[in-house]
Amino acid sequence: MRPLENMKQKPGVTSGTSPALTDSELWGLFKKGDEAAFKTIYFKNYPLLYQYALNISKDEHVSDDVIQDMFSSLWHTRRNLGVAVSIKAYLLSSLRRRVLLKLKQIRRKQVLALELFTFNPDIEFSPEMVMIREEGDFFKRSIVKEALNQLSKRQKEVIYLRFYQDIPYKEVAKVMGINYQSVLNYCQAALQVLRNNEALLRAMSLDRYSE
Amino acid sequence: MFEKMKKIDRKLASESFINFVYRSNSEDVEKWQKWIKENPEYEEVIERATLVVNSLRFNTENNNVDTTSRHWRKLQDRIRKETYTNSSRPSSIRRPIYGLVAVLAGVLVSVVIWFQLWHNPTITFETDIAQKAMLKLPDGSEVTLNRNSSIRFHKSWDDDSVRQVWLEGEAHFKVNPEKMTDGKYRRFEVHTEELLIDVIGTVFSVNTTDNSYVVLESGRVDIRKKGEREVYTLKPGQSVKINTSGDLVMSETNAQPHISWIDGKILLNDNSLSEIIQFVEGSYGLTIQCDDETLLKRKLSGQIRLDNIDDLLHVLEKALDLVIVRDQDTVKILEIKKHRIHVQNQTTHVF
Repeated sequence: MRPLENMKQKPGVTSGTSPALTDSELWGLFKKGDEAAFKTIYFKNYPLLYQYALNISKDEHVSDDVIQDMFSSLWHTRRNLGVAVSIKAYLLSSLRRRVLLKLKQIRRKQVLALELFTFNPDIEFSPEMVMIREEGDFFKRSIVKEALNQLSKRQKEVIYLRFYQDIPYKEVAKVMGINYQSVLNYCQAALQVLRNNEALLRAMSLDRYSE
Repeated sequence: MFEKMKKIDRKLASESFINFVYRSNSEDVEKWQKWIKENPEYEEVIERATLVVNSLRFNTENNNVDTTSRHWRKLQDRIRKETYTNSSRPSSIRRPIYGLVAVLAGVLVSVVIWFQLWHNPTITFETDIAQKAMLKLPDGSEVTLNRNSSIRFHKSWDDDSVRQVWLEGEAHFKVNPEKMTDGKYRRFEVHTEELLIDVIGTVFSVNTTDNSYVVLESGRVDIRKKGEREVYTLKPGQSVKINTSGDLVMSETNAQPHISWIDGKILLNDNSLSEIIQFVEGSYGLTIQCDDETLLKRKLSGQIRLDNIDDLLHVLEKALDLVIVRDQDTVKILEIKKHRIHVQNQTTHVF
């Protein structure tokens, strides 16, 4: 019963093993069946993973199910898993695949087979996601949201992963399964579109000067 | 000119520019401040780009801890169930490469069969932290292996004069008596690190985890500490324990409470709350707090199912007249009246 003892020590939320562990150390412990490491990974990543699943699927039940499926199969197959340099990126890419698969299964009945091959996530930004210093300014948030939602699907996803999920471009590429240069290209194009959005710039400069 | 703009676009989408806007890397901040001074003609585009990158700050704090914990508990329950129901079948069977695995397994099996013609290999069976297993020994006797235990025995007992198993952890045995051609019973031996248990045909439990103990349900067993000559003979209902100074101590089970985990139940036989707490903590990885000495001495007999921790706590609460509050992995046990109001104020799960 040795591994369980680790869990007993710290009942807190983000607890478990010590926070000083690197991703690969934590992953190694988890692969050995350390429940505390597994718990740490879960608590660290669950909120953002849930947001990601929700942003792709737009369905709370699907998001819940897919994340549960993913973590339970992670635990059962932990011995066969590879080395993870960035746990977050690994989980995001696994989750992305699973959500898209689930959505395909759900929509298979409704959509023509041909369409399935071009199936890409379509993330929609909401005003609640946007952070503006002035707390209650729903109007400004809406402007930012509008600007972001006008981007192409791919551009939105790159922006979402790089800025909302806060992972570097290199990992964005891994999660989306495209190459690094394409990620940069999408991001460049997206930022360029946004730089020419006068409404966005006005809202943002007001935000800044009202500090 | 066009080429130059292209280059600027790339620069403004770089990690280094993002670091500069977010002030997250002093090296990048200095680098960009210097660049802006040297290239005043880009002032406006830098201004715009800064505003844009600033608009990409998102609010990720809206997730509450309660939801995460609730889902974590659901996940734990699910994994526990899956592990229990799948204990006989390896998880890799469900992976897409199972065809390949099956072929490899087939090859392995044939190698093993071939190998068996020459050898009588040892089989080791192990359970992990959330796993129990029932297995049949070569003579048809049954073993229930508890969590984190392992048992080792010869694949075939046809040529062995004594049936032998080696045990680590905890197990429950149902041994069939077996007569040999000369009319004598064939012996059955359980070897543990400290004990040698000699049996003919009987039902008994062996635990080697904390303090080794053997509990006999029916029949008769002889027990000897390894390296010593004295033999203890157990009658049904009796148990033997190794005490802290390393000696074997025999006692009546009725006087000595025993917690069993067979069939997914705790069998309580006049056990005190403190003993139950110790068991539950070990099995579920919970921390259970109870400061009240008199509560710890309350006793309980009967059976409680083990598969759902919340049900188990609920039964304890009702049977022992307690208030049990669970907050994730911490469980508090309180007396019923004094803390009623205090408990109701908490947002945690109150039974």
